[in-house]
Amino acid sequence: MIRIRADVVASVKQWYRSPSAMFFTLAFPIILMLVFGALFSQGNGQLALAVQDNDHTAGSAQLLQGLNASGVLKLTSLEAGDVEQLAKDKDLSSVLVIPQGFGQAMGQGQAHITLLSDPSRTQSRTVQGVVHAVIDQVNLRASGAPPRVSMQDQEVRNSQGGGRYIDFFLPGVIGMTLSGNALIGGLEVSAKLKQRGILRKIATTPIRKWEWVLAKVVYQVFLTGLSAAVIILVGVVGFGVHIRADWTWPVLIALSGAMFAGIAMALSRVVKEEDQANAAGSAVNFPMIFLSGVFFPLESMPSFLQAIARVLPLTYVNEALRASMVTGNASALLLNGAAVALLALLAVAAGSLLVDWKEV
Amino acid sequence: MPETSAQPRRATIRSVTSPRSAAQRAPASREAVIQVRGLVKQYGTLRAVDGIGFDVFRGEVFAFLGPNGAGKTTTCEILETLRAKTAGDVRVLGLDVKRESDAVRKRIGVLPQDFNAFDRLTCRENLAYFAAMFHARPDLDELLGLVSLQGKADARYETLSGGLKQRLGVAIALVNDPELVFLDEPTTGLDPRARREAWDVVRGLRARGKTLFLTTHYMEEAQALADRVAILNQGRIAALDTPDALIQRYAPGQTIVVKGGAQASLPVKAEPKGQDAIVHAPTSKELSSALVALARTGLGLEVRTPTLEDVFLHLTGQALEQEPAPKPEAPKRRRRAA
Repeated sequence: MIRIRADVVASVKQWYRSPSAMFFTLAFPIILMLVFGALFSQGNGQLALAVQDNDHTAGSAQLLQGLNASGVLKLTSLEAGDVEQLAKDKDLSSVLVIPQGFGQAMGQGQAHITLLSDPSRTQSRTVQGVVHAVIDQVNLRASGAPPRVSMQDQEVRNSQGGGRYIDFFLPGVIGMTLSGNALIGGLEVSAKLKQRGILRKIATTPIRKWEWVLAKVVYQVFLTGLSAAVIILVGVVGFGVHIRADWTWPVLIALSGAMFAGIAMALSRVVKEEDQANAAGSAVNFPMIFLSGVFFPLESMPSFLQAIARVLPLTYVNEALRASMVTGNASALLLNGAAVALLALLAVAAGSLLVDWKEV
Repeated sequence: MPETSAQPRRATIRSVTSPRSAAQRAPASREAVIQVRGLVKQYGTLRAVDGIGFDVFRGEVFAFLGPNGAGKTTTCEILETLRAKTAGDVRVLGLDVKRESDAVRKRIGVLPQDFNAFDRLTCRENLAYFAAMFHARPDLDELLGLVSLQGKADARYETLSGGLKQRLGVAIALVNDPELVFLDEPTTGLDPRARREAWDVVRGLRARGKTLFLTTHYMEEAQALADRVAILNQGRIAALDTPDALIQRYAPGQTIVVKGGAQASLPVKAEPKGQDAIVHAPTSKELSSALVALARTGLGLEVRTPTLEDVFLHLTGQALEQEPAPKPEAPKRRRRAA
């Protein structure tokens, strides 16, 4: 215990005396949260639709009002001119063209409008659907016939937290920050100590390998906790993210830090130099971040990528954290939380066995 | 060499060029704290250590002297339990270095080759860290005083000069009050002044009754510090004795340095050393006749007392490198492991 405590204290002292280490633990997650938060919490999910109104009659105004009332579209008006050229110049994904004489034609039941869509933009399909629905409504109302089927919208929230992207994203940011810091940071610290001969000196003392690994794990858990606290603070204060009051997510964050620190110690056996450490850590970490559901839900990925995601430890961290912090899905929490705990145990054990400081 | 300081220590350094009594250098007792028999370390086809055997006695300063790659550090690291031996019997403080490595580590102090401590910790914090590794509670100020680092207690390691770093390394090697201290090339890369200060520290340790195992490729260092010297060459011990006895046996009498005589054809038998040539004169009769003959060449002559350098030259036919180029990051390690 004396050795582990001394090593953790020494690591923490070195950490707060190093501006770059402080940056990656505290400032980097803040920047990440601010950038992604601003990116995805703006616009309220509204879809852009440019409208070229060549009619300007009560009829066209009525149509525009209908489109506006849908609440999904953000209408902008487009000046007169060659619509295809304008769409290209202004990089518009959806343009609605209301021809001259539309209002008059509508009275005769012969009105016609054109919707130009760029199929390479996924949102243009949604816009198509919305415009069709609005047109159908206009037609129905004009025919004066009673609707055959009526529908009532009812919101059912499967999660207790908000369904906004930032709510989904926050546990992901915690997951990717702790995997990056513990994995790359852990590897870098080990490689540096090895390269500078400090590890060789430490190996001449009675400290045991498991004590060494445990000290590194405790230190990474400390850093992970700090990073997570900062991310949560920015999320709650800056973006109004709602986080469930639950005891499991602090435990999950600690376990995840331990897991990635253990993996780093095991990998340190083959990574001997400092510049290798960053490359090796990133090589493992970056694909993992993209495939483990940090940015997009797993269900939206192709099935073979989902299969890969299932073997990535960060996937279980993200799913467990989401269940604990946002959705409150008890079975997902139990399953993924158990996976995280087991992986953490295995990783620390593997780290203790594989870390090497003696030379043969 | 002119007397530059009134300190009594300096007199000992000066004695590099003058013989000294064997009694002054005799080990305090004959209890062997290191026993090595038939030690072999093999890396692939390379035999880094080729069947060496020796004893180190309690209270003495024992030096391994040899060029880079002679097997000094490999042997040292096997004794420190850092490396595994290929064959042979190695006992440190009566303990087997392989089976009882934990017990060995608790009782030895080590200044490894290319030593470094934590950059962003202060001297005191570094000492406290390593003390904790031994569950020891030494008086940190006393340890810092022992290596004259009192004024640097709160200076970060990264701000220290090379000499001060090594001195902190020595203090760190003492946190567990070890009976036996290993100093692996403690002065490599230091400037001459820092080297001499490090020597004073080593002498201080000997005076406190520590047994010291020292490796060096500086002849002068072995001669100034060691009670006994093992000359290592290509993984083997070429000779082992007190510095005086080695000189008596392998380079007795006087040595004539013929300035710029390496390329000249000389009237007497000589060995080249750099630009100069070295002529050994075991007796005063040989000395005078050699001087007479050499005087005719018109080259500059210098007569001096032989040193371990001459012993090494005699034993191996090659000069010990005096000031090797600054070492890149751990080059020996990789070359040897390859």
